[in-house]
Amino acid sequence: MKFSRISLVLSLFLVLFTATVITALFTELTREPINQVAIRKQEKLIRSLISEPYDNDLVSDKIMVTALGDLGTGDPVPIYRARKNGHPVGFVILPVAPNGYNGPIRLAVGLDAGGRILVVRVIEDRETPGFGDKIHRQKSDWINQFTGKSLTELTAGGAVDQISGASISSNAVIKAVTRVLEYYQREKEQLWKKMEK
Amino acid sequence: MEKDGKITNAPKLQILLQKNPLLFRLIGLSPFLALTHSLLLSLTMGILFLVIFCLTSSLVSATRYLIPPPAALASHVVITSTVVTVLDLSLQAWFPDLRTALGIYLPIMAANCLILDRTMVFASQNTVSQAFKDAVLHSLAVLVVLILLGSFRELISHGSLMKDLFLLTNSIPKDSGIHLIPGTHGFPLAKMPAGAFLSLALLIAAVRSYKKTP
Repeated sequence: MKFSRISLVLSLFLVLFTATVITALFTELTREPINQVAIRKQEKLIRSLISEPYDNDLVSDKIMVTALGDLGTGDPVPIYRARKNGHPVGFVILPVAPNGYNGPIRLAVGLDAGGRILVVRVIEDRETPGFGDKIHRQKSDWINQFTGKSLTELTAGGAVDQISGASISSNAVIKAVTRVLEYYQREKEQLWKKMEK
Repeated sequence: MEKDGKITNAPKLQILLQKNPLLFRLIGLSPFLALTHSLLLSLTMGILFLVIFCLTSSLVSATRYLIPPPAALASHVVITSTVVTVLDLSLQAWFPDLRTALGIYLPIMAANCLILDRTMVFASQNTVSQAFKDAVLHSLAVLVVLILLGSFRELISHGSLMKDLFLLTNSIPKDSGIHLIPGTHGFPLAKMPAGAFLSLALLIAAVRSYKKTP
């Protein structure tokens, strides 16, 4: 049998067009539920970052700040504030480490009111599996070294080791966390007073 | 690719035992083997495979007069990946934890050579009902192997069955499932990738020796 080029092109076009329409329809249909899942996941993560007791609704006590030099991104970054009886307890900020090995690494940093690190976690990254992915809690204990460190300890150096084989990834995280601490030290008065518009 | 358009005439047991795609032809293994470390994931994968395979085969068969043979491979891949994408999105929306546990192995089904083989050889040359029946038989054969491997590997490595049932909904507590051998840490080799191949080899050996003795 012989097939004309037109019929070949037409049939493929038809198949591809239908496939695109169906995929687009389903993407639209599932967009809202998938967003909800992502939001719930992020809220759960944010609550897990404050180990001190607090009594306000952490997730809704949120402000957006923009500080390119300090937080690694020009986009507004959310900050969540934990309070007990109205007094500052802790602080969750989601900075970006712009210079990861394969692009930016999105982090979540939990601080106590004095500026000491409670927990650091990786939200999203594209680091190399087997090397850079050791910054994940699931792959190694490395990221737990941040817990309890203060800005002076971090800037003195040696408080958090590099990962051998992944010095770029680990240094990017260390620098980003250090910048967040500096930012907090400098701006904490304003950050605690600022009200959501 | 094999040249048989008559497989529907073969007895059903034959696809299960003598022509089982996982035990004898050994194609399209990776997504199945990778997830058989737990019974729940094996079951999920088996059922997803059944849905994907039946839909794809029926669609390919329904459009068989529309698509000229030179365009067949391309359009079959597109049809399979559309079906897989639709399922993937639905899982992400309504069973997010389960979807995370499946990882890359659900999207990879779009290029599964077992499905491609059946659509190219069989579905594109037969009626919709024949293609559907063929897909059901083949996926049931796969499902049986997955259940056997899944229970074997989970039992050896954890002493339990369906231990990760909590992936389905949040209302199920984390330590549900049947603990057949309580208080054991199990034999971790069974849940590692090597354990997948070893378990499959044991199963193949068992089935082949059964076949030899009449």
